[in-house]
Amino acid sequence: MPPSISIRNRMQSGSPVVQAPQPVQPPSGQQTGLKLLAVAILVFAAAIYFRPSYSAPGPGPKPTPDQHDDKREDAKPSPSPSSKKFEGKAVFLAPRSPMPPNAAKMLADAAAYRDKVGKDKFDYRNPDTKEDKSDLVIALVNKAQALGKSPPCVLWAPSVGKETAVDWPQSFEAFMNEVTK
Amino acid sequence: MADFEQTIVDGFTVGTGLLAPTESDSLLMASIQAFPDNLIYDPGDIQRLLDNNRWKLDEDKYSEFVRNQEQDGQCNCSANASGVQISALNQGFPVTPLSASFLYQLLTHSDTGTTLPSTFQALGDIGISPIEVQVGGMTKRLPNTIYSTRTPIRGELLEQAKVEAKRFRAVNLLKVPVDDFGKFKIVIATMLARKIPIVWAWHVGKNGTRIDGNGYMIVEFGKQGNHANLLVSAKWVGGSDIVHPVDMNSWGPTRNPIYGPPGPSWGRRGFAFATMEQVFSCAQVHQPYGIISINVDSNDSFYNDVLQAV
Repeated sequence: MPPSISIRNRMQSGSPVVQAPQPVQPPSGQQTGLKLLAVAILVFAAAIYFRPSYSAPGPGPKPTPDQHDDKREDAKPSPSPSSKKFEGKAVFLAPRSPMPPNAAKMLADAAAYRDKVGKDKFDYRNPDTKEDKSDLVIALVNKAQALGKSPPCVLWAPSVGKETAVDWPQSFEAFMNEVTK
Repeated sequence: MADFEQTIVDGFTVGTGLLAPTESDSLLMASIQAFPDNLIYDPGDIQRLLDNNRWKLDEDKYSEFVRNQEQDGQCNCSANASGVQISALNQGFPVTPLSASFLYQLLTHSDTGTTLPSTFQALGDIGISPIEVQVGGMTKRLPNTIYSTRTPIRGELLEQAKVEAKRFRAVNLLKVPVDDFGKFKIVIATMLARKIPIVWAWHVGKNGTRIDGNGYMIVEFGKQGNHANLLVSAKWVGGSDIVHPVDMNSWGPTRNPIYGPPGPSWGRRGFAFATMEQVFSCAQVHQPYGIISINVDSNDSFYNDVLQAV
C-alpha cells in the first residue's frame, strides 16, 4: 500500500494521541495533580513517538511527510524518478519487407512522437537492412553487432549517456521504457 | 506540341502522359517480384493501422508535396518523384524535393510521355535528382517542366543532377499482383496501411478533371489508361473493398512553389478517393507497384552523429 494511502487511513481513524486510552478518573481532590501528570505522560509519549522521524538526516534521500506512518520502520525510500530522459537518436535496423503489423505501428508511433517533441529531442531513421547494400547501412549493422545485437534491432544514441543496441521492441512505448530503465 | 492527349481543368491545360507499355516493358515487369502472400495483413490489422481517419492526417502531411506538371507529359515521373519523397518521409529520412522533370528528360527525347516500367527501372538505376543542386558554389534550381517551357536541363547542371540523383534511389519496389481482384484489393490495402506509396494508372475521360460530391475521382472505364498517379493513403470502408485508396494527383494546387505554379485546383487540395474497381480498371495494362524503401542518403549527417556517438 502506498504511504500516502496509509496516512490517509490513519488520519481518518484519528492520531495515536487522540486514540490513547483515557486515564481512569481519580477521586476528587487529586484531580488537578493527576491531570498534570497525565498531560506530562502524554507529551512525553508523543515526543518519544515522533522522535525518529525528525532525527538528524543521514546520507540518502530526506524522508517526505508521506513516508511518515506506522510502518516507517519497514518503509524504504521510493525509487527516485529515472534521471534518464528519452532524448536521442534511434536507428531502427530491420528489413522494410517483411514488416509485421506491430513494427509498422511502432514506426508510425515513432514518427508521431518525433512530430510532437521535435527532431532536436528525438529523431530516427529506418533504413532497409535487407535491400540497401550501401556502406552506411553495413556500418550501422556492424555497430549494432559490436554492441551485441543483430537486425532486427535498434541502435540508440542518447543525448546524454552511453549508446546501446536493443532487440526489436514490441511497441514504441516498450522501446522508450527499455532505453530509459 | 505534346504528343499525348491534353485535358482542360478549370481553364488550365494539364498534362497526362502515360504510354502503353512496350513488349520490353512487359518483359521487365514480368521479372519484378510481386508483393508476397506472407506480407499480407489481416483486415483487422489494416483497420487498426488506418483508424481515427488516418487519411486526413496523411493528406495534411503530404499536401506539401502536391505537384503541378503543367502541360508536360510527366505524370508518371511526378508520381514517382512524390512516391520516393513519401517513402523517405516514412523511413524517417529528411525530405528533399525531387525533380520530376529530371527523370522525364532522361527518359524521353520529346514530350511523348513514359511507361510505368521504364520509370520503375530508372528509379532503381539512376535515381531522382533534387530540384535544387549545387553547381560552382551556387544553388541552382531545375525547371519544373522542360518541354512546354523549352527549358531543358543542360551542361554542368545536368551532370551534377545525375551525380546527386544517386542519393535518391529506390532499393525495394514490389509490384501489385493483378491476377485476382480479391488479392489485388488486400495487397493494395496492406501497402497503404503500411504507408507504402503506390504508382498506378487510370484513364482521364471527359469528366476526369472533376471529382464527385463524395470526394471520389471520376475514372473512365473500358480504356487502357492515360494518366499515372500515386496512391498515398486509404479510408477504411470494410466489406469486400476493405479500403478506398486516397489518390494524389499532379495537377496542383501546389502549396510549395518549388513543385510548380499553383495551377488548377483538383480534388481536396490535390487528393481524391478511388474505389477498388477504379484502381483495378487499368491495372492489367499498367501494373501498379509500391515504393517499399529508398536508400540512405550518404549526405545525411544523422548517421555520422550516431556512428561517432557509438
